[in-house]
Amino acid sequence: MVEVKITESYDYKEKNPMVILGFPEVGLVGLISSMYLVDSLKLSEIGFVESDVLPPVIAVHKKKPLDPVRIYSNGPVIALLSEIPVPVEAIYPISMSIVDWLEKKNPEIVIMLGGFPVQNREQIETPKVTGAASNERSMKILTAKKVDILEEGFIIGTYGLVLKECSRRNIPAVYLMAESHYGIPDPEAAVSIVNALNKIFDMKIDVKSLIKQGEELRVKTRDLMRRTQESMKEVQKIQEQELPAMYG
Amino acid sequence: MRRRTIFDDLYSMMSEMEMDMGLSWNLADGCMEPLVYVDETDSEVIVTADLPCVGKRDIKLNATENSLELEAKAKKPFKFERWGFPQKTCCFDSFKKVVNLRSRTEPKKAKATFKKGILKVVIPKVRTKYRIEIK
Repeated sequence: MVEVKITESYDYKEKNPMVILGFPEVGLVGLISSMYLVDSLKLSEIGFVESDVLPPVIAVHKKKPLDPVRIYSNGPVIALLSEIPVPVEAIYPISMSIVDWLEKKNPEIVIMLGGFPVQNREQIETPKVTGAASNERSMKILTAKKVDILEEGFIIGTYGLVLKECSRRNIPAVYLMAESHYGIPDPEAAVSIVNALNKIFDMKIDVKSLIKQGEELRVKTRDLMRRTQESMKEVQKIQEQELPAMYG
Repeated sequence: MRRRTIFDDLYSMMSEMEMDMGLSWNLADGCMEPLVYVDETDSEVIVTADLPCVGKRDIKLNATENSLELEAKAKKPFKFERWGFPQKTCCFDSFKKVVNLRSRTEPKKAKATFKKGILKVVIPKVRTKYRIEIK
């Protein structure tokens, strides 16, 4: 039996936190933007996710082993991010465990960050952000700030399952996607995501440093992008560019 | 001293992970493999490569009917602290990759553009087309 364990060493006092999820997918947009938020909001590492379906990888930082899926917080904001692509067989158990964990948090809002692949991305000056929402309350948040809404299409992978399950359990969640390169890290798309968060949730995160780091980030996340591309092939992430066969 | 950020943790995780995926860099000549993907239409092969921190004039492209070789010198070296085992500081200052193409192409008719560090090479396919009569 698959076991997913979420461990936290933090005594939350806030009743309705904002929870941000960042996974490496299209253009690494979700991971880059969520890591930038963790850094900008000075969130501290408070927990991790472990499972027998995740690859046996750890990082060593300051002589201490670190899990690849970690939780950060400063109280009102919690961020869960993964530094490894979730293997296809782990997507379902990990997504369901995350939603169980979210439900207990009773969040004000869950925000998933990502990208969607577009052709001729290099011709686009400022990547546009599109949103999807789990329920009426979260949809109102997006429409009030005039965010473009995904009307028809597919959402593949962890974000798709988490959004669906949040919808079923009536947990307010939004998925923000920026136009992005498919298999090239796209810090510019991450800038669009951070700007969208500033606009939608009245945050004041300065994107200057992210713009400045852009080219260096592309070099340094190159191998994670290669690995993520392999994983996206397995989950047919490219299907997000197709039209669903639904009756109109 | 520069503050260690969350991105530094990511880089140390990646240097461990890439060992089992095949190396995409060569420490001896300071060369990295760029990220490349190849799309095909009925008439063209489109190669897109990520070449950050590179100037247009520092890119060399050579093509044959079924391969594209690209080399580029970076404007500044990329320095990685504590790389691999044993841990040491290392630098990369160029990109190099030979892309094998699945279709036969006409390299003389290839067109290349470079914008925001993204190289796009469009190469027409060799087309041998015969009309088939329906009886």
